[in-house]
Amino acid sequence: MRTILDIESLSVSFHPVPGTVIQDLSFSLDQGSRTALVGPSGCGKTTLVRAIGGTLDATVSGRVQWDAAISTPVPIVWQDVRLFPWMTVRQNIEYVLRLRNSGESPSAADLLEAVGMSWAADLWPSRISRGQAQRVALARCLATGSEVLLLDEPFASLDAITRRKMGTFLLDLALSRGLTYLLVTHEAREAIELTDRILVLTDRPARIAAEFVRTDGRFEENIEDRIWERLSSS
Amino acid sequence: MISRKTIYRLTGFVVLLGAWETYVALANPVPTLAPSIIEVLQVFPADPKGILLAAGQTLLAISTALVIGGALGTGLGLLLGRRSSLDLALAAPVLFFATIPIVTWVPLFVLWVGVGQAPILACGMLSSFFPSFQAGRGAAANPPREFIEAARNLGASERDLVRAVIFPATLPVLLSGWRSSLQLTFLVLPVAEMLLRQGGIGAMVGRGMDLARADLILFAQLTLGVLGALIFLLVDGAERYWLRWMHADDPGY
Repeated sequence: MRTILDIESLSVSFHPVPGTVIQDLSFSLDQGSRTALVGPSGCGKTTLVRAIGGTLDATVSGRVQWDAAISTPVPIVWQDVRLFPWMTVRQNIEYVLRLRNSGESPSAADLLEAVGMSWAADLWPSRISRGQAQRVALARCLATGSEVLLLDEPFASLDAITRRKMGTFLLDLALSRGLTYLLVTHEAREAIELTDRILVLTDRPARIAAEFVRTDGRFEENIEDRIWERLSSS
Repeated sequence: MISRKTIYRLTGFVVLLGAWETYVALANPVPTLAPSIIEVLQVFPADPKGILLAAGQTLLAISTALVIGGALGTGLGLLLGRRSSLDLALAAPVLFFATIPIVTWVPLFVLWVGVGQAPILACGMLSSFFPSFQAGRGAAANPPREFIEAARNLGASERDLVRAVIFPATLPVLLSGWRSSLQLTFLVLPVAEMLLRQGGIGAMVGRGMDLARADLILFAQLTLGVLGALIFLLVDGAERYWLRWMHADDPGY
């Protein structure tokens, strides 16, 4: 399988704040893969996503190399959604379609249909729920035409039921569209259900403490306990 | 059909005018000091052209002062908010001048540019300048970082960022600054007109004082009140339209 992202010896620090947030981190992503980064709160997961997504304003060393066929910056689905409140749901999507301006891109209506939000096209983002807004945010990222998504704890502020529904929705969407995604979460259960590879991060500075891979459609026995063991010992 | 809200709003005015009329009827004061409402309203038919011209002059002066002073204030505020070294050097003196009562500048402006509309306009521009300056500075110093980051991540260029993200995100702060500018200009400019007697509704107040005619003063005040209400209704409408996304949850919008 083709490698689409190669990260080598990535370290991040915020000058003049002393210390390193991410230290000497290396991993790669294959096309069509679904990978989770699991780590304790505040370990630097969001910083890592921003470094990979190219929006980080910090001292970065090491290499973040995207495959030439992947258009960058790769879109991020943010924990705090970040739909533009002065644009309607439809305008949020159309804005991105205009930015990318690729002739073969789908319409805003198609994308909203894909995430089940056609009914809200003309509403302001403040008029829809957090879970619904997160669906629109997914559609907005798809509007970039990217087949790769970076998901920064996208379901963290949702209630348990919505969270589960959104997880299933994301998985179905990824399978139907052949998406590759990197999901950042602090929930081991979410990582197990939505990905086929889990990288467990240590507390600051973030390093990879363990890696679990789904083989023959299954993770190893007691995977959740093993992840928690790693998280608590890091 | 008149709404209940409108009836409540009008009730206050009716009670006030009724109280005034009752006082005049019962106390029978000197007419030049406390005229009846009819006597006040009769000021208009006595010189309709002159009053309309004066109102137009005041309106034009306020608009001109607001556009020039507001634009300069917003521009300088945005610049200082973006450049910390400039802000350190200039913000303190500008804010110091903002504390000086604006009407005290009138004599200086007369000395510098002579008697006429110029010192009145200068006073109005100064009134518009300070609130817009503060708003521009605040908007530039606190850009909507999370939206800028999201837009950059989605592929926005610097131009796209300014047009589609930074401008609409900071518009509420900038508009609030312009509203304060308008309020201050509306308070200060007629005073400058009153002091310099170069026309306008403010000058009409001054003439009323010179002639000891309360009806003239009251009519001028009434005109200013009506002008103010109309201007602020317009501003409210524009704000409701431009910022309608902020009021999506408010059933009144």
